[in-house]
Amino acid sequence: MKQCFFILACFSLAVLVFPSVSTETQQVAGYRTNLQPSSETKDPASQFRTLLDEGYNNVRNKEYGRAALAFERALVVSDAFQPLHAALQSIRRQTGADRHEIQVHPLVKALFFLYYSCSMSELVRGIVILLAAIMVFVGLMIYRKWMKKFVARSILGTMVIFLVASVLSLVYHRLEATSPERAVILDDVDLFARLGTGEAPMVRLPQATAVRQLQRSGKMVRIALPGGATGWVDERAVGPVNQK
Amino acid sequence: MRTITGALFLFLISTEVLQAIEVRLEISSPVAAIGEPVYVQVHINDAAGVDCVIEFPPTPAFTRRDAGVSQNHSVRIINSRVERSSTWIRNFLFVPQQAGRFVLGPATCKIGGRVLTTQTVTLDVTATSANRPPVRNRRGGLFDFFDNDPMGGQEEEETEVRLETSFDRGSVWAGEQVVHYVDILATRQSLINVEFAQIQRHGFWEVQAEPRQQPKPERIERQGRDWFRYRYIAGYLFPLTSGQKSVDPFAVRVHYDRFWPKSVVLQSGKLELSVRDLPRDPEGLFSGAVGSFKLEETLEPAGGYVCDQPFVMTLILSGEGNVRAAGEPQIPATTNFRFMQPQIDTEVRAIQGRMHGIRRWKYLVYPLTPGEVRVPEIRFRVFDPQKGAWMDLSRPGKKILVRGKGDLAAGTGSHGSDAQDIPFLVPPRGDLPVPISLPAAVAILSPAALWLLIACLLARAERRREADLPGYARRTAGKTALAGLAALKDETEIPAGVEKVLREYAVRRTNAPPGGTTESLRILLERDGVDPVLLSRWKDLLDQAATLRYGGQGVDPKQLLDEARRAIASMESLK
Repeated sequence: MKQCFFILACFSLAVLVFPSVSTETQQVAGYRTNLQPSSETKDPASQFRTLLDEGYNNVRNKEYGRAALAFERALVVSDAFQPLHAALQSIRRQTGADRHEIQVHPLVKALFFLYYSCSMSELVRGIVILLAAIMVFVGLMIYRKWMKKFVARSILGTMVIFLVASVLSLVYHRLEATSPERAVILDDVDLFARLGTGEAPMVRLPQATAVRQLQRSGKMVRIALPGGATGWVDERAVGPVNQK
Repeated sequence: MRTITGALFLFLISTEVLQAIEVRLEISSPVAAIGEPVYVQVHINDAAGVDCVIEFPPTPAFTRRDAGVSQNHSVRIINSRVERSSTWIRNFLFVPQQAGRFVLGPATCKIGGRVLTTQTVTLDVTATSANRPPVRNRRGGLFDFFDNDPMGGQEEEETEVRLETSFDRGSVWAGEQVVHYVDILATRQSLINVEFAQIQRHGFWEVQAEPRQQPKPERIERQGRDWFRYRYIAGYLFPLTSGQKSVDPFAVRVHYDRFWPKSVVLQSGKLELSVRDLPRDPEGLFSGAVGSFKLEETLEPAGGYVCDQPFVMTLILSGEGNVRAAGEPQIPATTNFRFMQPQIDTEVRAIQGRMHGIRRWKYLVYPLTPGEVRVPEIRFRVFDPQKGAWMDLSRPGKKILVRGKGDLAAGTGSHGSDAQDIPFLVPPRGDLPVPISLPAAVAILSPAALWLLIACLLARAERRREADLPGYARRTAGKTALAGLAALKDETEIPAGVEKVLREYAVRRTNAPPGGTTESLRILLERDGVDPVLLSRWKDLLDQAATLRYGGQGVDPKQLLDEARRAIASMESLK
């Protein structure tokens, strides 16, 4: 029993500590690589504020690709600012980049709803509440000697499963957000199936499209769209969200 | 003897064989008027009867026509012996052309290598019709008993079944829809099922009808008789070219009579249709569709068109007729749009006995020029058979606003307002938005953690107590006794209460079994190391309490209570 409590306590502590630590490290890395030298700031709050200002300035100047990049970087610092999600969504709807977003089957969405429907901040909030609920319930089980009751065990098991799923979703979200492959299309650019002269473009990608960088060859970058399609684009049109 | 036995055996065999194949001639009515059809049936009780060749002697006073083949099964159970027989009936229609008495037959039936001859029947032909319904001859059978029932007295009439085929219209245009009907006429509402043989049609493009049709009977009159008509749709036909088209005779098996199921095979006649050629199309724009159609056009999305960003234009042709024959719509050449190859899908279904269809052409259209441009007008020429004329279905070109790429960046289009609506919200300076603040997390988690800690401590104490109950009783003997004394408020209860508490103290402290005597408890307390002075004080108090309890005179009860409290406190302090 003691061991269980110890593991649970360590786990909860790790969950609480994890986002803030990783956020800090990633935001510093991302910021150094992608922002202007003038905007080199020290603390996360200032970094976030600077990125936000930069994004809004780009929106004012109709540079939606660059605005989306700044907002994506700000999201890496912290995704708890809800207007940022709305702004990014508006930009993508405006440029047509939302058409390239992956469409997940509703069944898959329902099965992995913690991953697909919750942002990182929502998951952290959920984990804290779930952890408190688990502690209260375990206390009750100990006090009322319910440890061997099936119903109590089932409830506790369900809560623990939700907690583990939430933590895994959070970890996966985090890895995805801080992946060095993440990038944003800065300007409308043609996507080519192959490298070489005389190739006809497959499609014209709108600015603000979220992509993944896979490979470089000269001045061209091979990218993957959220749906899985790959192709080559001019490297000047691709802005990486995180530093490799 | 052997000869007699052999002759008898041969006789029996021959009678069996001779009885095996039987042919007979029957007539629907012994009296008929000129022009009134008479059914003549040749019954052959052999499986090969369907293929036998039947010939009649020349009958110049009649016109004769083959009216199909039917089959009749019967089962007889006599003295527990089951006899099954199957009879093929070849039907002929005789129409008398002159009055008089005529002898029909004998008909000769060639079955395999054998030739069998029927009996003859006599028919009286009168000049005028008696307008009497024909009565078919009945075969002798097991249920003849009911026919001869003296109480009933009326002969039961058998269900009569006929077959008619027709088109829904006599003359059509090439490509126009024509429905092929098969009507089953029955004298009673007793039809169960109908099976069609393969129908050979020449010069038609066909759409098969629903295989499981359940037509409702309609009352009609034929030749002065009431019939129930079951109308089946055999197919939806579209003549491919002009000229005379035909449907070959085909067989239909009809199952009827729900109580005693029977079936009959009926043969249709040859059906012909004259098909007119379409008038000349002067401009040669005919799409291939003949029927009553309408054309619709939709653009998706409804607005926000941008140069080089495709939208979907859908043309929908729908109506009565063969939409599959419709070719691709003609789109005028334009420099404003680029139309990609369409994606075509077609649906057909029968509505109220006619074939209707919908055909959609989905074009991916790339706007090439910015500004207000008009989508080209689509014209679609069809032939309307009801009007007998060419019809041009057209959709006037819709004006749409196409933005250039520069406009997109400037956000001046219909969707531009979205980005302009982004509220420029920022968090308070110096604050990083966090999912949950530390005080909030502490406020949520700390009570839970505290409760968990308390629960663990309580559980631990409980566990310890349960592990060493005698020790626990010893440890808590004084505390329990003092608590028991403190609970005594009523003076009348004090003596008994004090006595009980003092005894329980001794029992808990020494782990003695309950119910011991004062002396035994005293000895146990002495062994436990209680001071003899205190021990005698404990015993005195017990005695005083007993005295007071039984109404004796002694110390004041409150004084006794205080003394007891002091004595227990002293014994505890020296433990």
